[in-house]
Amino acid sequence: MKLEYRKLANQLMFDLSEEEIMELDREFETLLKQIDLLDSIDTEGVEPMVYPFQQATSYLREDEVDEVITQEEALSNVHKTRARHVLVPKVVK
Amino acid sequence: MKYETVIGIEIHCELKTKTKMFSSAPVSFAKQPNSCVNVIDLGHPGTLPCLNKEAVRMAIKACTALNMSIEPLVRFDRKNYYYSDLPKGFQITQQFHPIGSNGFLEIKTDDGIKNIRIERLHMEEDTAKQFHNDFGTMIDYNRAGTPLVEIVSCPDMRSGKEAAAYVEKLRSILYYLDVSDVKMEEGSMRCDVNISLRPEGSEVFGTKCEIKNLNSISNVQKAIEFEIERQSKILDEGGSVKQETRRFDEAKKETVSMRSKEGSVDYKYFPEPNITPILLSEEFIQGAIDTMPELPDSLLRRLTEDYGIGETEANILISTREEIAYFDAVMKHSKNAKLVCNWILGDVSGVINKMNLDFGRCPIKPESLAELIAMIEAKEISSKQAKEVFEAMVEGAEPREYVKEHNMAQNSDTGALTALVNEVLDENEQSIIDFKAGKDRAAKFLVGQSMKKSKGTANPQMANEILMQELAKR
Repeated sequence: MKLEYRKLANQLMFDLSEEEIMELDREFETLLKQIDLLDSIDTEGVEPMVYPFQQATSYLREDEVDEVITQEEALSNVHKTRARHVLVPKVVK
Repeated sequence: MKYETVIGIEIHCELKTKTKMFSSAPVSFAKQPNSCVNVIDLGHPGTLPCLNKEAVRMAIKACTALNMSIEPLVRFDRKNYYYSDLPKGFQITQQFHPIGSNGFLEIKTDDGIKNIRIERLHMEEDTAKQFHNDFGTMIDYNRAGTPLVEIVSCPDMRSGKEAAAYVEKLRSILYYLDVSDVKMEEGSMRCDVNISLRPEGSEVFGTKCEIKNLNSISNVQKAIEFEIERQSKILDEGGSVKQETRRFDEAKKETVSMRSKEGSVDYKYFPEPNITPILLSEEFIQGAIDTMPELPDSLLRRLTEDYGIGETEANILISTREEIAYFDAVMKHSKNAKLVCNWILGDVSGVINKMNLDFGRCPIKPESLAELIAMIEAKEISSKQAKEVFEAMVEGAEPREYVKEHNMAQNSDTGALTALVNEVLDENEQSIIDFKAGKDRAAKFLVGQSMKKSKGTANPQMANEILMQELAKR
């Protein structure tokens, strides 16, 4: 299990400390028990349901420009910018 | 050892809508960075995606042109990945229920027509454009959310040439449908190639590599040819091909490793909860299909079979929508398809290229060109005169008026021409003697003299015929 946490963390590009792994382990113990509980429910002959409505909708948006925010607004929430671009640390070689 | 190459191709194609797949912000190219976005594209909390009607229409057209079955119940799924090119932390795509499935298209190969099966076509959103620099990565979110269709072929291609033919065919169909700009060099059409080798006769697939960064059709072919060499060499030496993503280095004309596929991220796909299934009505689907234009295969058949135009010429005529529309407009006023084709591919194209225009803005009206061609056919003007009239037409002249004003109409009046020819004969008795002595050049000289006397207005063919008749009488 520990190896799995590290692998996932690595794929998501962050590090996990030993304490964090212990904490995750404790949390997952409870979680997995709850999942086991769900597994005990008999779903024989029950169709999987993804959405709470049976009826499909039919609405499609017309292809007309409507809501656009300004460049200033778009960048106002950004930590770092450069030449009007969002600037983030480089994570590729 | 002899190997068989197995190639499958994924094409991502940006749709030519006004707005994004799930937001009403404009689709843009080369605009100010981060100026064509809204809160949905930027993944702000509490925003909800709303599907673009036109994008669905375009996807339906593409599915129909590629002979696919259309799924009327549109459903989307969430592809989870954590990367800065999509601020939501996921891409909305159609993993489980693509709008189109089980299609095919025909390509021409050295061994005749071959069907390439198309597994699926699905709608999704494009990512932001990232620029990687030493100081960090700069992101422009203008492209984020641009409508895309991804078209996935079956592994049916066996050579770089077939792959290039497939991409070219797909490009021309999407271009004619007017659903995309299909510019590989600008990235509105992007091509990923999956390629593996297997011993000839084997049914089992070898380990495949994916090649990205192919920005032209000729590079698709070059990259595949390089990759066949590379993989054969590894296999010949008893090694095994690593499953990886490679990119084509245009300068070196080779593929280089980008990343290994092993331990690749699980995207944890699940149905997109923010878009409930949308049922497309039969009328809506048929409405999209009914507005489809004539496609390149049908155009080519019409030109070669109905009009008897050569395949090479026909392919040039259909190279742009504007050019074939111009041809069709001229043909509304003319019956001589071959002559019309020759004029369009010759003098008209010359003018278009020289003036840096396209056929949609051709300075010569289609009906005027038809008029000029009619005058050539009726031998009212010579082909040499036609060139002069054409030059004037470029400047805006009407062909019939120009011919009249410049007194160019060829003299096809038999009586007048006979009189004229006899005058020439009377003046050149030596030539008659030479002709009778078997010198053909004498006849040519006499025709020349007749043309000169008519100041070039005599119909040369008629002048020739009359001269022969009159010579025989003497």
